[in-house]
Amino acid sequence: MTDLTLEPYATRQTWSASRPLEPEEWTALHTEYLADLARACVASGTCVIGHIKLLALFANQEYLRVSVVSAAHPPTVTGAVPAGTADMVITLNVLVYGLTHDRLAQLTSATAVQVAGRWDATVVEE
Amino acid sequence: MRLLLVTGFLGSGKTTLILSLARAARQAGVRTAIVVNEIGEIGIDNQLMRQLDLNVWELFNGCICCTLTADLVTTLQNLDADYTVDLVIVEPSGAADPKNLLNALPYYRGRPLASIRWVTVLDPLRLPMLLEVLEPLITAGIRQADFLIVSKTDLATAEERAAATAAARAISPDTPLYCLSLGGELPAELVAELLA
Repeated sequence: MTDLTLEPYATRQTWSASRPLEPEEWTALHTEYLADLARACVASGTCVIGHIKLLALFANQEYLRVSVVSAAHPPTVTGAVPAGTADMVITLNVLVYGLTHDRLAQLTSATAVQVAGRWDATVVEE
Repeated sequence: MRLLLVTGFLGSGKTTLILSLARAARQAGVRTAIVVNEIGEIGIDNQLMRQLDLNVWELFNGCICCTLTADLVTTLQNLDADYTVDLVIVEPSGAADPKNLLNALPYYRGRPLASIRWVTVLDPLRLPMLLEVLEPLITAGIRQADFLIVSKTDLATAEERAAATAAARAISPDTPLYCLSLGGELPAELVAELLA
C-alpha cells in the first residue's frame, strides 16, 4: 500500500424518490449504493478501500450514516431516515488508496445513477 | 484537563467509540470536547457530532500528525484557557501516523495535562490485511496504546476475532484489550478508565 496514493474524494448529492420511501427502503438504497461503489472501486484497478461513508442529517437530531470498508463485507448502518422522506441530501466521503480523485468521482457518480435507476429515484450532485 | 487520543485506521470504528464515550461522559457529568481531524474534502464525522449536540472542534485541510500539529496545540491551549473542559478526546485521521502526535504535545503551553491516554481501535475484518500492507503504521498504533479495542465483533467471524486478538497480543501482550460490538454498550470498567 505504500505505493498506493490516497486522493480523497467527497461530494454532496441530492436524492429524490418518486414517492416517499419507508425508512428501511432508504437504508437499503444507500446500503446498496455503498456496496456497489466498493465493488466498482475494486473492479476498477489495484486499490485498497480505506473508508467510504455517507451521512444524511434530518431534524430532531436524526441521521443516517452508512459506511463500508471493503468490497467483501456489507456496509454498516447507524441511525435512520424519518418516515415520509422523499428527498434527502447526503455527504459522501470516498477514501480509497490507489484510485485517482477523478476516477473516484466517475465511479461515485456512475454508481449513484445506476442505483437511483433501480429505485425509480434521481440523484443530482452539487 | 485530560487528553484521550483515539486512533485507528480508516473505518476501524473510532467515531462510533467516541460517540459512545461522549454519551457516557455526558451521563457522568464529565465536560468533554472532541477534536476531530478528518481527511477528505468535506468532513462527515464532525457534522454527525454537531448533529448530536457534542462540543466538536474540527481541524481540517491537513493532518494533525504533520501539517496541523500547530493547530492541534493551539486548540488544546484554547480549550485549557476556557477552564470548562475536563476531557479532550482527539480523533486523528485514520490515515495519519498517530505517533507523531506525541511529538507535538511538548509544544503545548497550557496548564499541565492531568493525563494522556491512548486508545487504538482495531478492525478485525481487515487487521491481517492491514498488517501486511501497512505494517509500520498499524504496529506503531498497537505498541503505543494504553488500551486496545477490537471493534465490530458482531460483524466478524470467530476466526477473525481470534486472529485480530492474537495479532494485537503478539505485538503488545500486556496492554488491556477489549472486544466491542458495533454500537454495543461499553464495559463499565473501560468507561471508568477512559473518563477518569
